[in-house]
Parts: sequence; structure tokens; C-alpha cells
Amino acid sequence: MSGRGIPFVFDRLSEIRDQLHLYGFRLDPRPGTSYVDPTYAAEPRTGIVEVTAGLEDCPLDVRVQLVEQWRAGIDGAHAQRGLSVLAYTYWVGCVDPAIDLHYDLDPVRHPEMPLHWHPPAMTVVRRPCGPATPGRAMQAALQLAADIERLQAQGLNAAADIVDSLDLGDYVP
Amino acid sequence: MSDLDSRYLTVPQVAAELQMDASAVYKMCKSQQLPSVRFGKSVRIPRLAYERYLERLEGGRPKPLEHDSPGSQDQLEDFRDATGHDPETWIDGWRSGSIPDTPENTRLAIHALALRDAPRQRAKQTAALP
Repeated sequence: MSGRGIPFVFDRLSEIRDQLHLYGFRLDPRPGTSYVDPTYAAEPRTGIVEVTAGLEDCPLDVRVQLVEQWRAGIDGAHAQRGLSVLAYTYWVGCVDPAIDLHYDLDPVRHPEMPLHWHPPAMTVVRRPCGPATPGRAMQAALQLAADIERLQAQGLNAAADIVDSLDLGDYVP
Repeated sequence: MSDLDSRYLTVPQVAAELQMDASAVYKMCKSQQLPSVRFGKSVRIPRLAYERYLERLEGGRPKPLEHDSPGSQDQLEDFRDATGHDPETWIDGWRSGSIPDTPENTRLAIHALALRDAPRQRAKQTAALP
């Protein structure tokens, strides 16, 4: 490894992009690191990999936002090539109805429960879980889209009613 | 056929197209080799994901991404502009709970950590050079 930071983030971004393609997501084709409107970024200097993508072939606006911070050392998540992830957040959400969830590794704010997830809920809820991956978040996005469509076909339209009808077992890592 | 039926395939449909046993398709779904969802107790495969899976088998890959990597100083300034904080003070607020635990703030906290740690990481890597 050189003093140029972590070039592996470019490989990681390509890997995640390939997986997004397989799962049926599209990326905004513009690279961007804006904190207001992020698209995708691989930053070797900071070890950040970040992608926002939307589900194709779906009448709902379902998105994922995947953010990882890579660093030298193998004591974090997803360890490979002498590197690992110090912190991640994998967010999954539908715009309308507004329902979202996210999987976090956050040893700073929650050292007592660094691995946790925020299930779909109308209030802030945090629960322990196992390690998540970008693929797990993509899977959750597909499941959320399918569940919302299926429940809407049954006449449920309010976000709270849909959330109450979700089987959380399909989402927990 | 409903819209849902046209966009999601059943396991027997995929097994027939791939000329495989249904149990092999279930295994591919379970291992996430083939993306799938649950409709109650049944497993369905999104049609687009199935098509992408076939593309991948034939060697198809999306186009390479372009990269536009700003310098770390730009990132630091962008972070300050977006949050009104330095990474260190943001992390302090995040740790203490004075910053709300929202998805967007979780994301910003990761960026704050990365911006704070980048000089330390570079020093660590340089020290590790032979």
C-alpha cells in the first residue's frame, strides 16, 4: 500500500456497481461527491465509497444509498486485502409512500451496539443485528418494492398501514 | 396477467427457462446469486434481475464508471459548507447525541470520520512503507 490513500475504493465501487446492475438498479451517470446531491464517489484519500441508485422497472421510486469508510487494518467489517470498513450506512427507501430503513455500523455514536438497523417505522427505532452488506440492502430494496406493491394491490395505501403489515423477518440481516 | 405477475417470475418459470431443477433455483436465490423476493411464503424473481443475471452469464457488464475525485481540501470545505461544522465538532455532536440520529446525519458522520482520519491514515501508511 502506498501513501496515496486507499486505491482499493475504486475496485470496491466497481464491485458494488456490478451488483447494483444485477439487482436492477440504475446509477446517475454523473460522478459527484456533493453532500446535498450525492451520486457516486470513490475517494482514496478518505477511504469513502458512496453510491446512490434507483430501482429500475418499478412504478415506485425506490432507492438505496450505500456509504462505507475503508481504512487500513482488518478489525472492521468486510475485511479484505489488509483493509476493512470502520463505519457504514446502507439506506433503503421508498419516496411515496415514504417508508425507509437502514443498516448501520456506527462505533462512534453507539459503541454499545455498533451493528444495528433501523427497521421501517413511523418513529425512530434501533435494533441489534448481524453485519449487513450492500447486497443485503439491495435485497431489502427489492423486497420493500414488492411488499408495497402487493399491499397496495390489497387496498393498503397509508405508509403506517403498510409498515404495520411488513414481515420484518424479510429485512433483518 | 397483472402488472405484478408480468414483472415477477416464479421459481418454476425460471427453472423451466434455465432447464434446471426448481430446487437448484431456490438455492441460487438463497445464496443471492439470483436476486429474489418473498411474496408471503412464495419466492419470486424480478424479471429485470433475471435478465441481468442472464447478461452476466454471457459476460455482460455495465460500462466502467468515470471518476472525478476532488482534493481532500475541497472535500473539507464542502463538508463545512454543507454542515456549518468542522468534522471534529460534527463527530463530537454526533457522539453526544446533540445531532439527531437520522439517515442523512449517519451518512455525514461517516464522512466526518473519514475527513478527520484521512491525515492519520496517510501517516500510518507512510510509516508502514519499507
